[in-house]
Amino acid sequence: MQRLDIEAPAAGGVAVEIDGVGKRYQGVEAVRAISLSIAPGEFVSLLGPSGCGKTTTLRMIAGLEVPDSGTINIGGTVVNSTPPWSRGIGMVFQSYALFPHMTVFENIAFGLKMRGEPAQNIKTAVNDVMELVHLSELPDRLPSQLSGGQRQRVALARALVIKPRVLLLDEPLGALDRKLREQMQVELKLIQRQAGVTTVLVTHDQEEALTLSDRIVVMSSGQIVQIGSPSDIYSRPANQFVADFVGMSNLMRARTALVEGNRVSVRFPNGRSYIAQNDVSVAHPCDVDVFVRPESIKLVRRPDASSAKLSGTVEHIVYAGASTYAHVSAGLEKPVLVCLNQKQLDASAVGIGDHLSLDWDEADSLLMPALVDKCARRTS
Amino acid sequence: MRTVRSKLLISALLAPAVLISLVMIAAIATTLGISFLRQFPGDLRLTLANYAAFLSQPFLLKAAYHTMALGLVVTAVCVILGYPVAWFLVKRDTRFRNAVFLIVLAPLLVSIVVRTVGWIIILGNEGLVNAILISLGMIDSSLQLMRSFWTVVVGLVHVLLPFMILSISSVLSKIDDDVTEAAMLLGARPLTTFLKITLPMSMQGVAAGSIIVFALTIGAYLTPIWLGRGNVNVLAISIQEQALISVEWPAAAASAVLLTIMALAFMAIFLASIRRMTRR
Repeated sequence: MQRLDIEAPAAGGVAVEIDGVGKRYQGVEAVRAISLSIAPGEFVSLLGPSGCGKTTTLRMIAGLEVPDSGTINIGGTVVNSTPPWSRGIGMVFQSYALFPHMTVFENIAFGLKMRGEPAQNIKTAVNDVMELVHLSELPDRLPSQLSGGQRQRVALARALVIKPRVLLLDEPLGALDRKLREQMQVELKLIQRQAGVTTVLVTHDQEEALTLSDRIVVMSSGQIVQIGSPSDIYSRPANQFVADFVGMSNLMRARTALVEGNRVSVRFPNGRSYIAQNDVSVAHPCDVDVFVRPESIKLVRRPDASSAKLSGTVEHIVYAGASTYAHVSAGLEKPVLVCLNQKQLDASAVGIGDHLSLDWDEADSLLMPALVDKCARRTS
Repeated sequence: MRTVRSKLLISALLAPAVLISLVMIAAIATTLGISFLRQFPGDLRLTLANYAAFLSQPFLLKAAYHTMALGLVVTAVCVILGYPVAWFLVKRDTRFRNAVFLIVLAPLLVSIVVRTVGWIIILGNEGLVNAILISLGMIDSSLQLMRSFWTVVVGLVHVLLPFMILSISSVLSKIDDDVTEAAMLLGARPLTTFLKITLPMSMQGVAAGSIIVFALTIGAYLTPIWLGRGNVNVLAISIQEQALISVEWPAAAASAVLLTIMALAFMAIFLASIRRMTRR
């Protein structure tokens, strides 16, 4: 009877509803009452530093951990008390967790065997999925005879062949080298689209999350900090933590000088000030962080340009392959990080010791109430 | 200069190993050689008579049978009793873990003589078990608990169980929880997961422990002689009698060679069958 349960909604994937789910280990709250809705077929990433509760959340969806509070609903059924073997979930572990005493074929066939499928069906299904992940040549190899990338594919094939209702990926590409990882990311996304299966990826690699996900859930200390599309998370981070964790960013400490509706006059410690447009209301007077991505800052030759927001001296230039960053000392706590565009580089327009103006579009910056400031309470 | 010194160092470090190996090879070679002599010392002509004599003496054949049966039974009992303990030690994160570990290792800290005498106190005719049963009125006269095959099994299991537990737990501890969790997510219930994943993956530990226990059992002398009291004659006892009581060195050597061959044959069969089990 359980068999039918698993197979019925196989194709297309199902919705996952996490409602107020919490988990504590020996008094320490690993996950604090988080809620999250995942649409059928959606690819969602849980992104955060180690210890933020993302893996615990994934393990609770899998049924490997039982939540202390809240409910987990998969495909319209509360599964809190459903054991992992009847959840119909496919999971790829960071370690791949292949069965070392079984061949590639036997590894992939295991889930179907457990479901009591007839041998002929198993053979067809396993051969199909091996083709999908480009493993058709290696059915008789043992895991120890495979490369890292091949093992990863076996783990993925083993999880996909049971036509899971939900696919869980626990840092599945973490053990691969960069080139292979990028190649596997593309394949993973293609395969996921093809199977249309609801997918939850746990990662601490922001690039991976940005590349693969329909939506990203940023977690910190057991809580959800922000949920949004990759471009949302990148260009409109909810707070300093997200800004800092995802991509490179400048967070420049300043103080409000005047607030009129959504027009905020911001004064830097070095005396420069400008008027910012802000969507969220900011308390006044209050310390704020001005958030700007390095690639949004323009360097202007004339240091006295009245429209420029800051001016400073180029301290050093860091070449990082596709992009080059200049550290500009502008009299703030930290140097401002600026991504140089190709034109500026070609003309050698920017050199160490140059005195330049810094400017950015209002739309590319955000004001974030300083985390430690007392007035932060009054902002909402 | 440096290479000369490091060569000297390597030779100095290897010397004890080479020395011990040479002595052991010499001892085995000597035993093998003596087993083909008519009389030693004395008549040094070669003969197969010692082997023929062994195979024609029912007493020795019975001892050989007893030895192998004891080895198999003790090994099997150690696997059956030891596996759950090893599993508990490794897979259950409890505060009893250290206590269990200590209990497992305790027998190794006590001399085998003391442990065997302990079993005599417990199982003897005037021993603890008989005293309790009589005082409870369950039996009228002492049961014969000593002098049996199974008493020897009990004594040897007590002595050798730690080796089995340590071998199995060292392999079990290397099995990642991820692997069993993966099996469960693929639809395997806990018992199936154990039979299909954990057990085959831990067979190497069972094999290593079995070889240690089997080898030590068929070579055991003290426990069979003290707990068996002449009723459980194993080859170790026969060899001792041939060598030191009737002073027939060639006969003793032939028995020793045959014991070694039997042991190797059993282990080969055992390992082959384990390998087959783990592969499929």
